[in-house]
Amino acid sequence: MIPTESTTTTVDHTSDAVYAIKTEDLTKRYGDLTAVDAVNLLVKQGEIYGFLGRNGAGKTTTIRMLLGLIRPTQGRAMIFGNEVSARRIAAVAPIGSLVETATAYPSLTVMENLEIQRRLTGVSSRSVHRAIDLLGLEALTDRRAGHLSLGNKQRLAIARAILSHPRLLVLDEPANGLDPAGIVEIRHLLHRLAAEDGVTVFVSSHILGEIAQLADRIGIIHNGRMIEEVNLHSDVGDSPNRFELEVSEPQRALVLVEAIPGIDRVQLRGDGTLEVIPGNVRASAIARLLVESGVDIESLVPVREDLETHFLRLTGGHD
Amino acid sequence: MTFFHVLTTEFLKLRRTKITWILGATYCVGPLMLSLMMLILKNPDLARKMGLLATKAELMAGTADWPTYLSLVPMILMAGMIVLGIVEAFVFGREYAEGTAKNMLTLPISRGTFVAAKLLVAAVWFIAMYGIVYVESIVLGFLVGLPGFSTHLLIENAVIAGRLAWQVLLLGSVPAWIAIIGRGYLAPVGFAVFALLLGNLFAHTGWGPWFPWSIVLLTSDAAGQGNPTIGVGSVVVLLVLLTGCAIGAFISLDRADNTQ
Repeated sequence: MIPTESTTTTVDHTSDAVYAIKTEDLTKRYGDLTAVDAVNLLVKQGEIYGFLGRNGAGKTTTIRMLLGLIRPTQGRAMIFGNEVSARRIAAVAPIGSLVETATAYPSLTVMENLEIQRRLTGVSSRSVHRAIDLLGLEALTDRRAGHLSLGNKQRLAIARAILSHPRLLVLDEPANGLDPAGIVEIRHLLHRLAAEDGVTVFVSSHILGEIAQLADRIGIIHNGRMIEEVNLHSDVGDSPNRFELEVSEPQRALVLVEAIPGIDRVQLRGDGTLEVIPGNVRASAIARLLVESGVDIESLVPVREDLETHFLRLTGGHD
Repeated sequence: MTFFHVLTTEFLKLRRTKITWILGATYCVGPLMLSLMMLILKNPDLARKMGLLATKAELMAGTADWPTYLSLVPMILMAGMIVLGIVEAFVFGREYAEGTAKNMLTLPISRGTFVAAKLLVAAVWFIAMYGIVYVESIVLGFLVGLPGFSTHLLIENAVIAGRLAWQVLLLGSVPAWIAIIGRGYLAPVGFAVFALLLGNLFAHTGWGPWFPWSIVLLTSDAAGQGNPTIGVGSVVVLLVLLTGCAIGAFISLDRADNTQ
């Protein structure tokens, strides 16, 4: 099984500050609707964490709770060890954020919008110029924000987020409105901030390809629940994580394989092929058992599951 | 220092917005209309040419002199109640209407600081506009050449204008709170107009000194009851309203979920 850190990690209050983000049973209910259901997140400092989910899965609600925009019904969120509900100002001080749609004061210029952020976060004027350079906004500094294209509004919002040299960037759908070149540019920027400045990046998206290229680790949220955490460098894509078996006696093989201790899941498909998610059992052990039991193996094909297939399988996207 | 920075950014936002200037310009039209009425009344030939407008001027004012003119100036100033209501609605409501509330509320600054700075900025802007409109009224009175001016009359009128100004200011936190609860500026603007109508109603029922928006109407004599001296009870009503709504605005901004 792909490891699920959220469900296996023991809560250790003494090491809260080690994590850029830590949530414990974070829950938000609106009447009968549970938007976020006991989410446990651990995001280490300096990593790029992708937060993946379908529309309405609970990504933005979780982000709003991390930023202190809404209060959890239950549970708590901590940023570098500071609990958001109890110590909001200390918790949000190291964060630069972009929540959902990019917004700015439309009657103010790009420069004035950034200047407002500069004054309110107490950083130097150089920071404004750095943000303008990094986001390629040099030609637009005197343009009113209300006259910007969607993509440039998004750039301005990201510039605003990085302006105060945050230790943690929380970006909700940062690729919104950007053209393909812009998406690549932002991806490079985020990689650079993480690698050179040690910035932790928490980025939510429903665009699988973008997350796959950006994040070190992803959390998949579905119907308000964290259903899995995946390490993109080891769990998905590179190594096979299931097998397809064609055998002489599928029904008997199903019973035999199911009985192997440590097997994660086996299912018999309509075409008579067995699909095996082997867990910690080696394929050779499964093959040996079947042969010794008199079941002929016609083929054993390792299947590499990419992020998209994995995500769609988990969230029922094929339905 | 943080409060100063929040204050300067709020001033920048207000200064660079068309609506505040349009509103200010509209407020300045009041004294022009009033002085035009005086001019019509003062010149019978002009009055004949103006037809209906002259009749209206006669009905409203009667005679063209400084005592009449100055008795009407507070009614123009009283419109500041709506002007301040709209400015407060805009200063607070724009953050929701323009989607910038989430940016503001994720800053490491106490939300009470934003409430205080916004109230102060709107108040300063209102006082500036109020002062301009009052000075404009006096200058226009001289330009029209009204008879019967006396320094005593002017000082007496300035005291009423001053009293009216702080009464209007004490109403300022109400639209602010409504803008936060209503997540925009339509609700507080609607309320400002509705409150004016209610104020007019209460002023005629004898409950005027106890109803905040009637207190302003009574002071300006817009309700036609003369300029009564407002008692301590009315002052307490206005102070409680200001404090209560300012606290309400802070609690709403700080505690309510921002799902915008």
